[in-house]
Amino acid sequence: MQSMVWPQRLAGPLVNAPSGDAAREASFERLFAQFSEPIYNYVRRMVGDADRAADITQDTFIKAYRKLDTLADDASTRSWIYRIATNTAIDEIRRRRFVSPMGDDERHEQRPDPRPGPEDQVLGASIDERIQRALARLRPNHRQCLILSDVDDMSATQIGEVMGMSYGAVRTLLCRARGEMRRELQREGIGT
Amino acid sequence: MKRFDSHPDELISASLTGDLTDVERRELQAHLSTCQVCRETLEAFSQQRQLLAGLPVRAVPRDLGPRVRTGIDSGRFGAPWWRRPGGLLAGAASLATVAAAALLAAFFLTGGLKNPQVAASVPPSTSAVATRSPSVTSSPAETPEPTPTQAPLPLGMRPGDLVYPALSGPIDTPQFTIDNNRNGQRLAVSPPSGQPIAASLSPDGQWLAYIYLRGLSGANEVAAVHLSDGSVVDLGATEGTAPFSDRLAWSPDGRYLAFTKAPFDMAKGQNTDPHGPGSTEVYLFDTTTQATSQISSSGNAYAAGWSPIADGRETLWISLAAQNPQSWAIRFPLSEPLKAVETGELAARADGVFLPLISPDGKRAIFWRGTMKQSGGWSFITSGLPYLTSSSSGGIPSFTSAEPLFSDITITGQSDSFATGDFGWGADSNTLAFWNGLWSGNHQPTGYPDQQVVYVGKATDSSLLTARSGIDLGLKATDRIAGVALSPGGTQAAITVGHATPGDLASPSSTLLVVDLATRKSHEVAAGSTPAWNGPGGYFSPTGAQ
Repeated sequence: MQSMVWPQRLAGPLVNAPSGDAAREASFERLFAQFSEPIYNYVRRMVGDADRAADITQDTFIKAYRKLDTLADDASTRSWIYRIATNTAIDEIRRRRFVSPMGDDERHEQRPDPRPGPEDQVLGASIDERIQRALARLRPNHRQCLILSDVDDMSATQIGEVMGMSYGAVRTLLCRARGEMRRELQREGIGT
Repeated sequence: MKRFDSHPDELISASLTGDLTDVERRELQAHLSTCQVCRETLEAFSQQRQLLAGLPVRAVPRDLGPRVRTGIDSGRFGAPWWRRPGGLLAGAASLATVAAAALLAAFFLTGGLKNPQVAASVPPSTSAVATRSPSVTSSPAETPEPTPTQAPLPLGMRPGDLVYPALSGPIDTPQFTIDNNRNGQRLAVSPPSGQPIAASLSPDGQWLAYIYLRGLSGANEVAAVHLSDGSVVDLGATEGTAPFSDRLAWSPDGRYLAFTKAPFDMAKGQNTDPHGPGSTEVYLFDTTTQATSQISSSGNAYAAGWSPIADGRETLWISLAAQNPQSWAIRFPLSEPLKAVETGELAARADGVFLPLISPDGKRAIFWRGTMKQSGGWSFITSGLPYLTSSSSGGIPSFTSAEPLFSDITITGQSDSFATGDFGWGADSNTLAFWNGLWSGNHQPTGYPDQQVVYVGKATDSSLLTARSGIDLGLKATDRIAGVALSPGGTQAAITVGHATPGDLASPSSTLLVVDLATRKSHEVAAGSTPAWNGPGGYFSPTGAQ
């Protein structure tokens, strides 16, 4: 149906519980409850495949559990978990390139045209799918910062924390990503 | 003021996320006032941001939690992508899941066919009682003359009044009301977690059923509000991606609401139907007991609508999606609520017919024909077209002598097809509308038919619907038609246009338009209260338009 959503309120703080295994478990449960869906969707839009996204999300939360002690404060939780997801996704993309050059996400210029075949045109003519196709054709770092900005509503500073870049570098990258996305949307018959 | 050597795309980009300094903002504003290219860039980037923000949110796989827990407990990482389905634990879990699903399926299949299941009766859960408060908003509505009634109706309702849900206010403290557009009366109701995307007013004016978005989960929730006291009955969660599942069909006497759900467990994030993802069932809400019953168990059942009451019996139409779909008319006595499809009387079976919508007088029906395919939910893959059938005598319509609803669409092959779409009747049983038609075939000249155009016509018009029947509202690419209702006299259409939400923190907004069908002129209902979501609307019609 519709893709327009009414936001849910965020849950309470994640990491201010007292020390101990029970507190650690409780913190992790809340982390998972709050971020499993956004992280899964973020990764899914990054890699464009539901199964790969599930694997990466799984590994992200296992890593997060192990690194929970390194989380300094509540304010940085979101950037922290997104950073783990980003690094996990990049590792996976690199492994995939090593094992299967045909699936190379970074050599996007050499990929076959991912526009749909006849059956997909029948079932996949929705605007959401055309946007997703346009997104899939972007360079991975362009795709990543655009998703973080426009889907996950992060500021340039937050994106910098996730991607390990300076504020200025993020602004430049984001601008280039918007330009590339504009051209890809035009290929899909959307926008000006 | 700074002059730029080239177009300042980077500042335009940064302006969308509030990442400009005051100086940069002033410089950019000054430049935009003189540069058409940059204004176009700003518009393109803004539209792009809205499009991305509006992408659907997918539910996480149901086994994600257990997989993470297994990985933590075993001290190992989950399965690498090239070795799916992974290690011993994951494999064993998958096998167990499959086996359990197979057992469940076998149980339901055998039990369902031989011994009709006694449908689970779900006790109602009610929330929030409302207060009634007069409203200052009012705009003209059709049919001013009241008809004699035994008792005052909720919201001071008269036949022809447009009644609609309205969600407004800040996202942390939203207000939700049911409004009567004619007299401005308003009923405050417990706010839902997202905007309504379908709504239907009962023919007796006592209930408004609606489907709303369940936050960011990707699921929807079905609910009904009792307009006499504002109490809300929760009718359960449903997968948000199943086409054809948003029809809310009231029985002609207003006692029952038939609706479709792809039953969804919010905690597990999965469809709970034993037939698997995308499966749908038909449910019946009885307003007299406020209990809800699941009356089908096939995994592919959809609520279609009702025929008029005859001989002291209700007649409910249920469709079964399949490559070649079917529709069944189920009769049951007024004195004996239907507990399960199998306990009713089969009045008719129509092969190749999907989601028939019977006119209020029972003499006409609009329905789908075509070949369907399941891809998540069911939709048409080839030859999916709406048809109209008529009979002078009433009763069960004949579906064999039907005409295409669109008389001027040139069919060049099987690929010419709608994948999905919606249609509705006016209470006059003559005015009809079609909207949200997702055309997947060869486009006709001028890009017709258009998903963002509402087509309205008369069943008595020999040409039925054509390109000229379209009401072009000039929608943006990201707008969606959330609902269309036809006034009892067939002179107006209330059209709800939902707008894309720019980011998770923005309030949803829609425009509820009342269109004069003779002049095609429109005016906005409840204009001025922004941002707000108004609609979808329904006209009070005691004769039972759906």
